[in-house]
Amino acid sequence: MFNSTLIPLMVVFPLIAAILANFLHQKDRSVKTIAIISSIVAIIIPLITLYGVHLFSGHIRTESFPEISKLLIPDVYMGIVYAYGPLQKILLALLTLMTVFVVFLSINRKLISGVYVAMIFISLASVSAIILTDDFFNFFVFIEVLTVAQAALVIAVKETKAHKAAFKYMIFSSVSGGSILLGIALLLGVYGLLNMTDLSNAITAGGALKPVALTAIALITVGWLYESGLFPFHIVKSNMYENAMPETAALLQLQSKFILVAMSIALLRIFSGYALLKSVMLGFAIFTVVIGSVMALQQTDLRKLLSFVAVGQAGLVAMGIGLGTSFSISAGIFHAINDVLSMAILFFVAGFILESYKTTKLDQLGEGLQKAPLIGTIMFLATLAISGVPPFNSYQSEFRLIQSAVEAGYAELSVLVILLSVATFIAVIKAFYMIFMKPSTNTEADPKVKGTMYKTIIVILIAMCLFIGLFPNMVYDPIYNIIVSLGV
Amino acid sequence: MDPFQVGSFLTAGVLIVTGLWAIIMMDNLLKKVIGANLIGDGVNLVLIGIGYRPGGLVPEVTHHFHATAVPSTFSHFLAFNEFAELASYPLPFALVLTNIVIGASTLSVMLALSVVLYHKYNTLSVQKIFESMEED
Repeated sequence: MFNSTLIPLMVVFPLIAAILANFLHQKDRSVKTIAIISSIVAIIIPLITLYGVHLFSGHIRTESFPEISKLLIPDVYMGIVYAYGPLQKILLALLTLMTVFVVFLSINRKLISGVYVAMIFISLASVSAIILTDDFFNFFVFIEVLTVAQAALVIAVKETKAHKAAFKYMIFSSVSGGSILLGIALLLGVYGLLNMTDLSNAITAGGALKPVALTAIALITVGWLYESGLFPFHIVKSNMYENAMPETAALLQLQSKFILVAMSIALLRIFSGYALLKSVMLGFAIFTVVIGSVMALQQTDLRKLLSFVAVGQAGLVAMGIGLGTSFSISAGIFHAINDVLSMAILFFVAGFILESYKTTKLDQLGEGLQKAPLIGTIMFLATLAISGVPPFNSYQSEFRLIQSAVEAGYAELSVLVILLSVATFIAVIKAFYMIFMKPSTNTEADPKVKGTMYKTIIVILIAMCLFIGLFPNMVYDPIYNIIVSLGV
Repeated sequence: MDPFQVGSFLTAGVLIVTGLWAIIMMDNLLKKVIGANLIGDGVNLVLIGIGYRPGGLVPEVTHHFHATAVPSTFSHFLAFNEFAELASYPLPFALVLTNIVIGASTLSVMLALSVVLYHKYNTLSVQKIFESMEED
């Protein structure tokens, strides 16, 4: 095992950047400098860090004295452990890249504020920790920290609707956080452990799950549903997305999907022998897919529409994971990566529309293609990408999801994947038509808004979508190998 | 299970159920916030109950134990086996401490939001505040 000292920097560095930015609040030039330097460093760290594990305080695996301690395994981790492998590298590289884009867009829109930048960096640190950690309580702590940061990012919009959405989110989060912690407490009570690897080994050694452990699974699954924005909590999450600034919504949906992936892997690793968990995941995923796509079709506001599309796509990721085979879980994670890219483009387009027209209500927009042809073209391409049209990335992941559903004996789910793709295409292409092709209304675009930063970012993102679509194995193979090695 | 633990778990159950009831049933913003806080307190109590051992040693007082001690030679030290059998489980207490800090920060954000919503609508009634969602 290689004890890399750079691994915790992925969490510690954004936290230091957040503290500095917060300290320099209202000194815009200093905050801007800190934000730019920190963004560049944050994006470099995951790329140069070597794979390995970091043992906090250097605590190596220690004898557990089973006869005294009643622990079911002979040796345990005494401290918090962070693990960094190819899957974590892909997720963290994408996370930091998107965070950097959001920071740059915020600077470009003169939204620069010490607290706002601090919250973006705190959310980056939290999701990084959630992806890296092998400790269940550490996982919970950063989920709670992320909740506060996400609520603050939505509150920054300074609209009453945003305040209401954040309040609802906080109240539900306290229930979900309590549920996760109670689950962790019960597991600690039964097995005396918090490390996920140790818990997994102890549960395997202990044989059949005790009723208390089953209660713990149920409680943690409730938290999983909420943090991932799945049914029946999809409304709270979509409400957050639609009330945040569109570029922040792009970051929020990415964070939710990565938490969905990280938490699912944790649950499946710990309770790998408990088949009902996968069925429960699959059931809620199907509900989310259906409800997300139906709600998206009904919306007349671009931000609301995209929020429900993001929810529906999260259901698709959960469906892959819930199918429970190595192939389907890998396909689900691959789809999460592909989907956050396409969704981010659409949210960034919404950001440009909002800045340019001061509204995202579809009936008030029109003839945008003449005013912003590049934005229109890329939105069309992103619509194809998110609907799973080749040669874009989502085609590769949706194709794998369909294959895995058939292989797992759920051929009917492949029909659901296709239906979701069709519904997503109809919903987003309708928005494209209303914004860019419909005869003009009275709403005039602000001629001062050039959107150079938006255009640069969405061109980079659509190029990434195309690249992954053409060379899917560069991303998919490492994911598959990790999932097989984890034995989930 | 010790009566203290039974009492702790029962009280925790009451706190959690009361918190959930306040969140679901009560119309007042602040009561919902208090309900959310009660859930956290209930979970903390469960953790404390898990770590409790009747008459147990406080593990933080390190002079109770020395890794190489033999009780006959160092009367105030305990051998590891004895120490492990007598000491309370310290981990849950550390978790409770962390959770109290997290709870305080989320509580402060919720209270700040309640103040903002109260100033805007001049009421703490959730029904009235969220009914006017369409007007915003």
